[in-house]
Amino acid sequence: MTDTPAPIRETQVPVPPAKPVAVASEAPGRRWVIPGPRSFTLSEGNLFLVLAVVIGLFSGMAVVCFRITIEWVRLSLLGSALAPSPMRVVLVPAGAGLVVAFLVQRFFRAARGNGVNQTKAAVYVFDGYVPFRTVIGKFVTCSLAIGSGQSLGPEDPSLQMGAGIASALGRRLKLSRDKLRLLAPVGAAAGLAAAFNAPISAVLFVIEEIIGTWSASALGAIILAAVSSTVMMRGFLGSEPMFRVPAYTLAHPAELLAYAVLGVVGGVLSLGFTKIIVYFRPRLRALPEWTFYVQPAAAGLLIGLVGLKIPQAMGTGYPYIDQALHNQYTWEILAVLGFAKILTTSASFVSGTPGGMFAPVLFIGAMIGGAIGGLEHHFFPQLSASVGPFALVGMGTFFAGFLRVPITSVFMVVETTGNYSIVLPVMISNTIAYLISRKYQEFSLFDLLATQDGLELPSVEELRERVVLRVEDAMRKPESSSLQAGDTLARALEIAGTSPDEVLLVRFPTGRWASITKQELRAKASELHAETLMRELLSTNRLPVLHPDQRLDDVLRYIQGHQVLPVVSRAGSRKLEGILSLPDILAAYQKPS
Amino acid sequence: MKSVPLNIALRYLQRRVLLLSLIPLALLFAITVTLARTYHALEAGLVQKWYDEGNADLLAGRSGDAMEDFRHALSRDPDNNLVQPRLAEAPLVGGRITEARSYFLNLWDSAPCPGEVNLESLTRQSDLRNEAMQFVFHVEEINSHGCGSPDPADQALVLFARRRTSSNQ
Repeated sequence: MTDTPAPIRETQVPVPPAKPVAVASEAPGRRWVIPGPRSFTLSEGNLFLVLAVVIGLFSGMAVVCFRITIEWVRLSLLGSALAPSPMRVVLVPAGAGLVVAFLVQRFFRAARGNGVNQTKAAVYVFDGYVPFRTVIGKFVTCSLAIGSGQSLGPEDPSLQMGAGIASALGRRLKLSRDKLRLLAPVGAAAGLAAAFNAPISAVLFVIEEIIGTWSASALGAIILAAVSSTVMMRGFLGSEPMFRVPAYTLAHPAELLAYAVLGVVGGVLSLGFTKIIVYFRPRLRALPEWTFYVQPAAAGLLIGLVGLKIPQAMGTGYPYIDQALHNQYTWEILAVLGFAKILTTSASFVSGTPGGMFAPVLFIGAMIGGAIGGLEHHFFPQLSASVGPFALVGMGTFFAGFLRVPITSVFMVVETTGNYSIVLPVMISNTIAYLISRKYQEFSLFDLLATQDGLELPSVEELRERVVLRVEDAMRKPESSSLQAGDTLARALEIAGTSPDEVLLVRFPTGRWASITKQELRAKASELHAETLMRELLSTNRLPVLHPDQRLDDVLRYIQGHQVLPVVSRAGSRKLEGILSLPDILAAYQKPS
Repeated sequence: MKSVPLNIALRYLQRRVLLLSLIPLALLFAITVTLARTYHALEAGLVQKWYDEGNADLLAGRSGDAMEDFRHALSRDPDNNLVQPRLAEAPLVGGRITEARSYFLNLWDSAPCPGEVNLESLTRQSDLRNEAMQFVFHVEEINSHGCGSPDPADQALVLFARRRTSSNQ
């Protein structure tokens, strides 16, 4: 029998019967705050989840309107033909560039810039604040820019619009600062999910690139928002995957070698593309301010001139990706399309034209992938079957190398094509491209752009790969054996006399641990009988126990008030693996890595 | 730390705002529905326009132009069962049999048994070129894809093709 009372579980706590809360009884004169029926009461946590669904619905519809508006602008300005007339091709992107630049410079300054980094800035710098004006600005300017043929995509702006909508709702609801910070990624996931018709990729991207950790508090809301926005988008625009690809089977394991080569080429080219953007962007931004009014127009003119010969290099390029996936181009043409798109996308992006990079990156990847596949098939027909699967894998490869989001890139290919059978080559090729990009470019594109914008945003890639110190890295073996709960005070004094440790640990048969200092032991010896057992002496003393795999920074929460803590095996808390003190932790952090 | 009345007031405000947000949500829904319907109607009109132009070009023997038109139509409605076989027929009119064959096989790959699109296409192909032998070849290829010929339509087509072959000979 134990005299320790059984722990009271939450369900056992007596709950008073629900009755309407009359605030007036507590605070006279405040009758206006009498709430409605209790059944409507939501805790902030539950409110957050409901809000995530509402954000998803708003974002989904906003993205549907955005995509339709882009298409409408395209039809109005360039016509319904796949290859517009030469006059339109040259004049429309340049003319629209002037209008876009004017709108950005005069009304929507925040629309210029990268949506992913602006959302990260909202999370880490501005307490979750994304001005609603930015949402409107992105909608208007990006519709015009992308619809007029600028080589940019709608995904990145959709992400930021989602974050902006979420932020606006959160502010209206007067949510706490912590919740407001979390709302921006929730909205971002909703926006991206609707834009890509790919909820898993959107959730992964937000976790991989914006939040950086699998935060349980945010994950539920992010998933709810992504799902509700995707459902809304599919309701209006259909549930077909973005690209339709023929069934794929790996004919021979040696085919994977061909995909490994694609990974190498994709990695090198994505690296080159990053360098071009990182080199030219700050130089164009350093030009006098009046040039900001003409830079998008100049980029538009260049794109128009390229578009005269290669109309595929204009706009998002989605229809052409589909054609590449269906083997409708030779490898030579695919290579030309890939490089032309690198040129036009670089021009659009570095000129400050609002729009995203996701769609062009997929386009370039598909074309380069297809070209590599065609080339390999030409020289080694036994290694590769057709161009289509290479174009498909190329999309993910370039995405992984350029945006440095390896997990998202794999799921993105699977989700946008609805084809799981390709996952093995995608994983191989993406990993190689990612590793090459990492090896030769220390910081990711998003980090570099943030630095160019003067923002000190946390590098999620760095955070992800930071070496985590654990208890086993800091703990040490005890100099002497621990005391037992059944030891007498006399025996304990004897052991203490031979131990160099100032604090002695006491093990109980139940696996509980306690501690006593030598000084305390000596004081007790003068007061109590020598045959007093340690368990009687330390009946209320209980130490938190640690495990070797626990993170050191977590341990800091428990060590307060204790000179030393026992590190025990997860297989049984009676087995002492080591001991840990605050100086041990500090020494581990000071050790050069 | 917020006081209790302040917390209650805040909760009340949050619920009110959340409920009130249904108004802009409904408004946005109405806008999106209108926009999407108008857009889908516009898109359907464009598909029809390009399909009609393609047919006209095909009848006039302008194979290349017809292919472009059908491609435009398919770029807006990739799964259109009317346009897909016409795109496959267009090179046939221009005498580009290999290209046409590739299109037909792609169609077959994307929609195997029962393959209404393909059977219809093959019938057209046979009619257009009067190449019954080729027709038989294709129908047999259908069977070789593992469908056997449980479908009476397949059987009928094979018989039809063989009859045409023997009458041509």
